[in-house]
Amino acid sequence: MSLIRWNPTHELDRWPSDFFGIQREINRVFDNFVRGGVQADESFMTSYWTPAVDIAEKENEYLVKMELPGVNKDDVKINLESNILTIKGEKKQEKDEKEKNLHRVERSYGSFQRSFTLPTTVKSDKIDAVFKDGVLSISLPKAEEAKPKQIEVKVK
Amino acid sequence: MDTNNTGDLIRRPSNALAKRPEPLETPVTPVADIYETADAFVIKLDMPGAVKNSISVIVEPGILAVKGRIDSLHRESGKLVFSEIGHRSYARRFNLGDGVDSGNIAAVFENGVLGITVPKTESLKAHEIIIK
Repeated sequence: MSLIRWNPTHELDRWPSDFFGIQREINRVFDNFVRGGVQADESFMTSYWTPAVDIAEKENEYLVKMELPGVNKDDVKINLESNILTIKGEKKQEKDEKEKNLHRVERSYGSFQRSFTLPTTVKSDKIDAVFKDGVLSISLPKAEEAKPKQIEVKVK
Repeated sequence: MDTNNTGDLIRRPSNALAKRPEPLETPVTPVADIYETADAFVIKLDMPGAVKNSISVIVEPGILAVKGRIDSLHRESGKLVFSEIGHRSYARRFNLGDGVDSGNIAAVFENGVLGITVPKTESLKAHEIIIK
């Protein structure tokens, strides 16, 4: 074998620059365990995973970003129902990858689903989604009544 | 005393204050799959949101180092109400053993996945021995 196995203790030598890397690794393993990611009746490859999300609130819209590296655009569904935004889909493992001699499998495959309750009403017909570099960006424009209004104070 | 230099010293701290500090970058180890084909090793790293021209793949003797940065929501106006991604950078190193052709390593970034192909040298490839 030509690639030498990654040794996590080597990472400790470079503390603190890699400290968060180790922390993330621990979190990932722990999360998978707690969530029961591996289903007893399913193979390891069809386990569930939770893609990371950032949500920003702007004056006129909400911006949701979800990390979906290697996910096919057509395998993602976005749904908005009474202020609950649901993003679900599936990350399929490439066929050719399955047959190869695998040395290391750290990336997650399988189904995912996440729901978020939006605090204000959104123009459901004006939702825009872009998928770029493995990141799904959804723009949800706020409905008129949810936008901040400036009230003029009249001095008499 | 050079008056220009003194001016510089005074100006520098005020400039530093005027500039809004960048949010702290969290270094992250991107997850990877590694598999082997007949003539190469393939490394696939999940680096969602990485800015293509920020990605570097550096080959040193015995080491393959990958780095990249993402464009975060912090950069845009608006407040972050929920954050799991944040402001992060990617970095990971792999040890390369003997028998890899380090001069012909190729990398492709597609759909948030960095694919690196490390070709094997002839000595490492499977050879069929012909029976005479």
